[in-house]
Amino acid sequence: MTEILHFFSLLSEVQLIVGLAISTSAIAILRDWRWNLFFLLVQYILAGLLISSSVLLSIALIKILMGAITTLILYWTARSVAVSRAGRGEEKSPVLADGMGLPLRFLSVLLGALVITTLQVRYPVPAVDSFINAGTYWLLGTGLVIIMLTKEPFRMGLGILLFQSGFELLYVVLEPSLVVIGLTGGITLLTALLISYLTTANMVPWSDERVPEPHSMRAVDEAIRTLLASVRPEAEAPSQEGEG
Amino acid sequence: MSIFFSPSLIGVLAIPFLVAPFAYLLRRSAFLASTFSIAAIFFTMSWIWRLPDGTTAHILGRELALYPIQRMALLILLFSTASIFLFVWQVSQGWSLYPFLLISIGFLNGALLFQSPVIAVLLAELGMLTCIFLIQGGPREDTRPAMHLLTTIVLASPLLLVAIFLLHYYDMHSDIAALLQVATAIMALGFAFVFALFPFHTWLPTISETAPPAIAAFMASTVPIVFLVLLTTWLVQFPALRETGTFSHLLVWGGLVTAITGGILAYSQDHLGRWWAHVALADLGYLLVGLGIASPAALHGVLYGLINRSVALILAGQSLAVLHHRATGLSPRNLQGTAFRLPVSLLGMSLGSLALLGVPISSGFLSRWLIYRALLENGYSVWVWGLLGATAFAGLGYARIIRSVFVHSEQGAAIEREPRLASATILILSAFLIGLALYPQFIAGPVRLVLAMLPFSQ
Repeated sequence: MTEILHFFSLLSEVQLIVGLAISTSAIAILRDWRWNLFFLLVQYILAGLLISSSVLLSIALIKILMGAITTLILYWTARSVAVSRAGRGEEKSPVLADGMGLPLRFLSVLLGALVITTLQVRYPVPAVDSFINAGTYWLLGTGLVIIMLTKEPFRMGLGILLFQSGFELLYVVLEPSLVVIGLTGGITLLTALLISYLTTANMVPWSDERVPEPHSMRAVDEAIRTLLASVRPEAEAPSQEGEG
Repeated sequence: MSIFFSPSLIGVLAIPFLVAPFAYLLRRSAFLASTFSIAAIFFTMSWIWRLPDGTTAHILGRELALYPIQRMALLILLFSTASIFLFVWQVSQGWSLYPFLLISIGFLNGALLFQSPVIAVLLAELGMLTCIFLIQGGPREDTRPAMHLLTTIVLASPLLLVAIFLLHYYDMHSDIAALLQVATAIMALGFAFVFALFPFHTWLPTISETAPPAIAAFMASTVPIVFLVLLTTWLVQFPALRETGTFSHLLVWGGLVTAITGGILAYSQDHLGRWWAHVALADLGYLLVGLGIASPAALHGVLYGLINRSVALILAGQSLAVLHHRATGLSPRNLQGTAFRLPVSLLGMSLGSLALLGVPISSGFLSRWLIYRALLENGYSVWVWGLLGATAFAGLGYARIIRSVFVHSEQGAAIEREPRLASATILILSAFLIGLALYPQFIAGPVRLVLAMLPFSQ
């Protein structure tokens, strides 16, 4: 682990930008969820290192940590969905086939790269150094390309997270206050939870066990038991069931 | 401990978050969860009512303040939420509603109270993101509406934050004129996303078709209120934004296009939920026109319109929820025979719709009249005809959908009667709208107080 961190700390800003371009393009092109999440984590680490020269190191580390937690949330979701689908004899993946072939995805990323490169040169953000500017444009651009290429909650979610990461890369330099960093981190985590929820809602058959009718006395009884169980652990709580 | 006993802004902010876990634990019983949530909301409202104007507080060095405009918006927001909680007691909109709606309200309260525009945008984004859990509402293959809204929010808030940064930057470098133009354009685009203005309007009709109707009503009424208040306070905070006139023009043109397009598109809908969403969009267009013109009469129109809109949207949304719940759909085929089985809901839907359309003798007419007059005084007379035509189209669209409710059918005869408490809520809101139509002076005092703090209204 130390060696990996040491390797990353030796990278120059140009290498970090190239790394960001490769990792984000890989997310857009590859469909395998494991590779997608691996490159998402790499992207969070590279983006964190890129801002470390402009803000306090602790802030950069917080961003990397948030990225790691986000990746972990998506990993658990993707894995449980994949296992659930495999159990039903379907493809072991949280992503449905969308008919968008590899050549088309590759071509879209290539076109996106051309647009991004032109925009970052012509319209640089004021008060920001050129590397942050380039990194921001790459993340925002590839995020948008992924959002446009798919309807799947999981892959679209990856695009949304890349877009958010690009914006945070810029904004953490413009407004490096802890409150703002905390709130943007909260937004990233909430977005990851939403993507996880929507992927699950889309793919996994939920429990159809009967729940008490919400206006019945049984519902009142169960609600009070749940409340009491939360303050007195020894009290018996009703079984947890799928809900709508 | 005094925070829990005497009214304070921090308490107003904290109460929804503190009660959300208990609402979650009580969620299995609609009676307990609704009663508890309503009590918490009314308690918060009483604190907001009792706090004097200009009260301030600080959290992590950031200022919170309560001025008349924030008070009015908070009370509308909380009243809407309380009426939704009362309503879902009888017409379930999903178990997760209680805790998630409380958390969302907590964030939206924060967005209104924090004086820093950056914090306000981030909290409003958190509030809207929390609502997405409710829009999906559990296991459903179609995640399109939720993803649609998620994408919209994620695209909109960076635009607003960058625009705020550029406006601050312009305050320090006012010699760079292009900065202001870019900031204005970016801010207008950000607001176009959150207000669902044409052509970025598609998320609202999609949600109103597929999400639980009470949640759609909450989104359609509360989110624009929060962002309209933010927009108004930014116009005061960043004088450059209104002094150039570009932003005001964008507001007027964006509002006109949305009002006319919303009305025309409403005509072509064959789903009552989608029709309602397009009329809500058209109504928002009028408010933006009034804010763009910003004459005292136009701003009066905006504030009256804001109050009318909130009640009308919640009333129509609740009526839609009953219709959807009992008739299992909102297409003309599903609605056959509902006039005989669900008369209160249809009354609520019709009153809410008339108020949103702003037809004479409805509660929405005063606002429309003031905005039409402001348009005529500012040389937009041709556009007034366009707006009237679009309103007529929307009215015809409603008549086209609603005539099926009088058709007798076997399916209609089998529809279960309305729940009593839901009917009572609808009747109370209907009475409020009728009262507002007959006696608009009732809200003249608060409206004058809010206008007094807007320097551009003088």
